[in-house]
Amino acid sequence: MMVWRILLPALAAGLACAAALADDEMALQLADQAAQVSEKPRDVSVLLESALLVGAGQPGMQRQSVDVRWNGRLGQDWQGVLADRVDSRFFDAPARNQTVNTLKEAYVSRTIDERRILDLGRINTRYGVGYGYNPTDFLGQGTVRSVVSADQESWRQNRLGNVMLRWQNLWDSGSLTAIWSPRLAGQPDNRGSSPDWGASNPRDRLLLVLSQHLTPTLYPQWMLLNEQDGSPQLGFNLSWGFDNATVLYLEWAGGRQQRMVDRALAADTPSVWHNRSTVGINWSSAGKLNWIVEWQFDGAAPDRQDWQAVQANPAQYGAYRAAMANSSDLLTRRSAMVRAAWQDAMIDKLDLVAIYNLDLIDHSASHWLEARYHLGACDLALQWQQNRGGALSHYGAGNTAAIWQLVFDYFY
Amino acid sequence: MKTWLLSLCGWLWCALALAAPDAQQILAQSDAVRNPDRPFSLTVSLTEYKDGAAGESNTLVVYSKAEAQSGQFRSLIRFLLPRRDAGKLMLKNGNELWFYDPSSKASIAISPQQRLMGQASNGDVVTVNLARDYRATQVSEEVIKDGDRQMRHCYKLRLVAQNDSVTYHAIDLWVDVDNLRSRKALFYAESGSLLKQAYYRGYAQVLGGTRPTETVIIDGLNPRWVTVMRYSNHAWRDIPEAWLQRDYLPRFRGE
Repeated sequence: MMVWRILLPALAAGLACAAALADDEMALQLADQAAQVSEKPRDVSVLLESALLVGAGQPGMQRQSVDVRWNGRLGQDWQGVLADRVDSRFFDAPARNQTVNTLKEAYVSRTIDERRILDLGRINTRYGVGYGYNPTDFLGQGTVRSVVSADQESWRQNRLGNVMLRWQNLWDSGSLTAIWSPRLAGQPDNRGSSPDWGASNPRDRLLLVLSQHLTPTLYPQWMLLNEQDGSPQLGFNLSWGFDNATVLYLEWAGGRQQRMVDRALAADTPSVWHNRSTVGINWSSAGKLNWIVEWQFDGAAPDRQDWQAVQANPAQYGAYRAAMANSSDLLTRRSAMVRAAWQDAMIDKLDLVAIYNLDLIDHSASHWLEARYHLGACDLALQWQQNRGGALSHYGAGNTAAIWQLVFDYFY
Repeated sequence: MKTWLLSLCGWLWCALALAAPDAQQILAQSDAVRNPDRPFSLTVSLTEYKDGAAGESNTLVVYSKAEAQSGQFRSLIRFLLPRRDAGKLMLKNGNELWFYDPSSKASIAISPQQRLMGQASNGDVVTVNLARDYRATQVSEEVIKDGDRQMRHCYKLRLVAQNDSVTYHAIDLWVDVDNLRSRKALFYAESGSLLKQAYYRGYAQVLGGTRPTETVIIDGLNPRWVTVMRYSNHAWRDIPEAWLQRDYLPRFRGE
C-alpha cells in the first residue's frame, strides 16, 4: 500500500510531464509548417458593403455602399489623401431610391521638416476622447450626410471633412496645431452628388489645439475655437490609465452660447456661458470583454422643464427636431451611454457589441445590438435596433418597432 | 587551526559568489541579444492555431526606439492584415497606449489589457527590455530542449515585476549559458497561474546580431491553442522623437 502511495503521484507527474512535452512538440511542428505571410503597407483600401434593412411598419430597403481611401506619396515631402463614400439606397417604391456621395477627405500635405507640417484641402479632423458625445469635436458638427448605423463610431467614419489650411508644429513632448477653415457656403446642399461645402464650411473658423505631456502618463489637450458670429469656445481633453485594465476620460467644452432651442428657432436671445462635458470609464477584462460607461452633459440643451415646454408647442418641437436631425449635439441636457463589446464571443471570429443610450431628461432609450462574424476578407453582421419612449420623447418619436439590418462587408 | 579553516571557507565562499554570474546581468545581456541598440522596424506575422487548425492571422509592422532616460522601448505598430484593420495604429509608450483608426480619425487611449488582436497581448508584439521592469534571481542551471529541438545548457531565471506597467507578473526565463540567447519562457499571472509559454527560435543574423526570428506561444490553460509569431523585413529606422506621441498618429505612414 505504501509503495502505491509513492508510485502513483510519481506516475501521474511523469504522465503530465510527457503530455506537456507532447503538446510542446505539436506546437513546434505547427510552427515548422506555418506559411510565410508577405504583406506590405498599401496606399489603397476599399470597402464594399451590402445591407438589407427590415422593420415592422416601414418599407424594406437595400443599400449598396463603396468606401475608398487612398493615402500616397506625391513626392519626397508631399503626401496626398483622398477618401470618398457612395451610399445607394433602393426602396420598394423606386421613386424613393437615392444615392448620396460623401467626399470625406481630399488634401495634400507638405512636410517642411520632421517637426513642421502644412496641410491644405478637405480634412476630417476629430477631437475628443469621449465615445458617444464629443463636445470638443468643434468642426464635426452637421457633417454626416448619410447615416448607415446607430453606432456613433460609424457617424464619425462616414462624414465630411472641413476645407482648411492646417499647420502643425511638433516637439518631443507635445504639439501645437492651428486650423483656419473658411466659410464656403451658407446652407447644406442635400443633392446626392454635392460636395456639400455648406455642411462642412458654413462659417469662418479658427481653431488652436495644444497638447503637452505633463507626466509620462498625463497628456492633456487644450483647445480654443474662434468662429464667425459666435463667442470663443474653450475645450479640454484628458485620458488617464488608472490601472492595467481601466482608462478614465474627461472631455469638456465651454463658452458663451445661445440656448440650443433659441438657436434652432432663430430667436433673438443673449448668449450666456454654457458647459458641455463627457465623463467616462473604459474597462477591459482579461477575457476580451470591453465596457464603456459614459455620462454626457450639455448646458445649452433643454432641461426637463424646457423640454416639456418645447414638447407642448408643436411648432417649436418640429423646428427643434428638424434643426437637430443631423446634429451630434445632445437633444436634451443629460444622457448616458453604456457600450459592451465582446471579441471572440463564445466562438472564434464572432464579435458582439451592445450599445444602450439613455436620455436622462425624458428617460427614453435606444438599444442597439450587433453580432459580427469575420470570414477572411469578409464580415457578415446582423444588427438590431429598437427605441423606447413616449411619442414626443427623444428616442420614442417616430418608429419604436424593432429594426433589423443584415450587413455584408468585403475589405480589399 | 579551527579559525584558519573557517577563514579559508569564508574566502572560498566569497570567491565563488563573485565568480557566479549575476542574474540581473544575465537578463540584461539576454535583452541585448533579442533587442538591437538602435531604432528599427520589423514585420510581425501572427498565426493562431486551435487543435491544429489555423485561425485568424495578423500582420503588423513594429517600429521601436529605446527611450534615452529609462532605456525601455517605445513602439509604434501599424496593422497590415487582416484587411479590415489595415492602416490602424497603436502607440505604446510605457503604460500609455493610444489606438488610432484612420477611418474615424479617432486617437483613443486604451488599457494594456484591451485586446486588439487574437491571443497575443499588446505586450507580446512590442519590444521589451525585461531587465528594466523585472528583478531577476537565478534559480538554477538546467539542460532543456529548445524550440529548435536542440539540448541546451541554460540558466533558469525567475523574474518578478517591479512596476505595474508590465503585462506579466512573473516570468521563468531560460537563457543559454553559451551565448545568452533566450530559449524558453513561462509567463505567470499575479495569482501564480500559468498564462502562456514561449519558445524563442530560428536565431539568425539580423540587425547587427544573432536574434530570434520566431516565437511560438502556447496557451497556459489550453496547450492546443498555439500562436506562431514570425519576424521579417528587419531594417534600421530613423524614428524622430516627435513621432512617438498621439498627435502624430494621423500623419504616420512609416515607409
